[in-house]
Order: sequence, then structure tokens, then C-alpha cells
Amino acid sequence: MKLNRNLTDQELLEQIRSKSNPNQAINQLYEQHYGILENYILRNSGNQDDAADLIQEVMLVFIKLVTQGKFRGEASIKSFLYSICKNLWISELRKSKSMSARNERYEMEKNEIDLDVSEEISRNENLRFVMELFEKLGEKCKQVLTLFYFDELPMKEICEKLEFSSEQVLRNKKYKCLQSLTDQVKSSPALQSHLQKALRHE
Amino acid sequence: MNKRYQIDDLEAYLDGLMESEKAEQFLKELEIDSSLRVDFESLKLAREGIELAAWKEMVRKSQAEFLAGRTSSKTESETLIKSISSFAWISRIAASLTLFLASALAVLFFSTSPESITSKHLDYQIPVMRSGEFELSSLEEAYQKKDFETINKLASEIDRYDAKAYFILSMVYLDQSRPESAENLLLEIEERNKSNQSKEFADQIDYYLVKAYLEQEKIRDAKTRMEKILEDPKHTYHQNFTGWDQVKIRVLEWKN
Repeated sequence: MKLNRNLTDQELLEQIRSKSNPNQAINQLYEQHYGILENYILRNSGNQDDAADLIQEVMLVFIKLVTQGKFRGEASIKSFLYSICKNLWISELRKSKSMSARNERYEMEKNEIDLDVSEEISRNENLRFVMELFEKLGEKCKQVLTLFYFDELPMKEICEKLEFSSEQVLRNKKYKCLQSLTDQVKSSPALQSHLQKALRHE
Repeated sequence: MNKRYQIDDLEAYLDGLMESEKAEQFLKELEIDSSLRVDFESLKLAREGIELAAWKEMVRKSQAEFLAGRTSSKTESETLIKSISSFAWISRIAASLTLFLASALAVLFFSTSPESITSKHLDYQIPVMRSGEFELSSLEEAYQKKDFETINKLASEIDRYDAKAYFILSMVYLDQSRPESAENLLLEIEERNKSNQSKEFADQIDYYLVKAYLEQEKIRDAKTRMEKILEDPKHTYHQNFTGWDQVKIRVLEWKN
């Protein structure tokens, strides 16, 4: 979708925060910043596929920080995205054994990044596993949970949209779906360390 | 799930819908109850995961759309670059050909002179069958020997029109670089031919007039005679001129 007019940084952040026409905001992020982020990865031992995967992750971290109010436009979106991108890519490189020799140099280059951002990057790692579990839920479950938690639609509207016989049936369904996902999260080996940290109040 | 707090209770706390008294109690239990803390943290992760999955889908679609658009514009650019490149090659070839042609034309223009055509001209050869008349035989002999003194003497003794004598004299004039005199004699024979309805030395006249005209730089007249010879395949001298001679004579025409 082509934009008639570019949003200002503040307008863009507001559209993401309020979820009003978020597609327009995301499209603009891609139009304006994909090139520079991709270029950074290509210049640092990555290829175009690495860039595509990582930039998707960068966008998710960025959105998460915006929706949680952890980024309110204190810096420019461009430099903020670049900073997230550098940190994520360096983390990726550190995972790669073949790149171990270069790690120290990258580490030196690693941006001083806000603690919130660093935490969010780490939290998103865990959320990747949660999203995988979510994807494995039934189609109906995914629809119910998305419409309720993301689109924030009232029960009555979801009921009509998904043709549930009653709101009560829908409530039961939503409860079961959420319960199922939460249980899977709780028993996921990949998320154990995160939950252990929660137990230790870290 | 914790016996005292069901998922709905945890959600009420997260959404700020739990009564304050109950909320305080909940926080206290959360401090001491590790299983409740795991339940609570798992629910928080689940809810965040649901929301992030929706964002992820939105981002994925935007990225796919963006990359597809970029690929097509890249392809268009590449096609454009290819066509520009092809055009550049064609232009280079055309420019080289133009340069080559221009150089060739320049060489042709500056190197073409009347001599470049007349140098190939054949000298007239006396036929084996000779006339029985004394004067002419003497003239022919003198011409064969290039004895111009005798020729001049014999020529002064000619008191009547004789085509062969006139023609041999015109050849002598051409040899002596007197093209104007040669032209006059050749045209005289032509005039006589017209009035006598004869064709004596008709083809030779055309051929040697080309030389006489060129030596006087009468290019247009020379060109007319040359074209006459080239247009007639039966002309005796048809093979003695080529298209290249025609080009040269046109160049001489431009130069004049």
C-alpha cells in the first residue's frame, strides 16, 4: 500500500500504540528503514535472508517497546531501530560458532542500549517459543484469543463474528484456549529458565 | 492452576479489575507462593505471546508486500538497465560505424582527384588492320612511335576531314596534355557522325572525352559521358568504369 503522506515519528508511534491503522505505520517503517537495516547486516557477514529474518524480529521488538510505552520517541525511530538491529544481530553472531573470532570486535561495537530494550530483546526470545505454542492451537482458538487480546473486541462482537451460539459458549471457549496455552507455557522446557527466574524474583 | 486463584482471577488482576483488597492479598500470596508465581508468569507470557503473534503476522505481511514490491521495482530497474545497456552498445556500434564512415568519406573526399580516375585510362592502341592511305599510315606509324614532330608535320598536311586522322590527333593531344584540343577534335568527329549518320569511333569518343573533360576539370561533362558508358552494357568501354569511379566523380562534383 502506498502512503499518500509520510507519518511523523510521533504519529507513527501513536498509530502503533493505539492500534489504529497499524498497517500504515508498519508499511512506513519498512519503506523508510528496511534498506539501512539490511545494509548493516550485509556489511557484517549477513546475507539477504538473514536480513529479512532479523528485521522482522527488529520490528517486533520495536512494536513491543512502543506498545508498552518504553519508547515514546526520545530518540529518532531510525536510530532506535538501528540500535535494536545491531544488538539483535550481534546476539545472532554470538550464537554462531564460526563467528566466534569476530565476536569480540562486534562486542566492542555493540551499542550502549537502554536496559529496557535489552530486556525486551531477551524477553522476545522467550515469546518466540510462546508464539510457536500459540500457532499450534486450533484455528478457532487462535481466532478467539486474537480477537479478544489483540483486537480487543467485546465478547458480543466476537460471538457474532465467529458465529458462536452464545456469549457463554464463547467465554468457555476462550477460557479453555487460554488455559491450554498457559499450561503449555508452564510445561515448555524452553521456557523453564525464564520461569525459574520469575521464581527467584529476577 | 492454583486452587485459590483461577485464570480469571489472574486476568482480573492483570487488567486492573480485581478489587483493591483482594489485589493486596494476591500480591502477598504471590510473594510467598512459587507455584502461583509460575502460574502468573505463564499467563503473562501467554497473553503477550498472543498479542505478539498478531503483530508478527501483520509485520510478516508488510514485509512480504514490501519485499515483493522491491523485487518488482528491482526487476524493472534491471530491465531498464539492460535496455539502456543494449542501447548503449548499439549506440557505441553506431557511433563507431559513423566515425568509420566519416573517416572513409574524409579520406575519399581529400584523396579523390581527376587523376585518380584518369590514371587508369587505357591508351589508344592502333588496330592491326591499317588504312592503305599514305598520310594515315604515316600518322599511325608516327603515333605508334610517339614521334610527335612527324605527327605535327603530317597533321599540318591534312586538308580534309578524316575521322581516323582526327581521332589519332586527338589521342596525340591527350598524350601531350592538351585536353582542350583533344576535346575539340573528338566533338568534331561526333558532329560529323551525326550529320553523316555514321558511328565512327563513337565509343572511343565517349571514353576519351571523359579523360579530356576530367583533365580540364569539366566534371559534370565527364560524369555525363561516364554515365552513358556505364548505362550501356554493349558499350566497348562499359567494363572500364566501375561504380566506384562514379562515386569518385560525384565526390569531384561536390568538391567543385
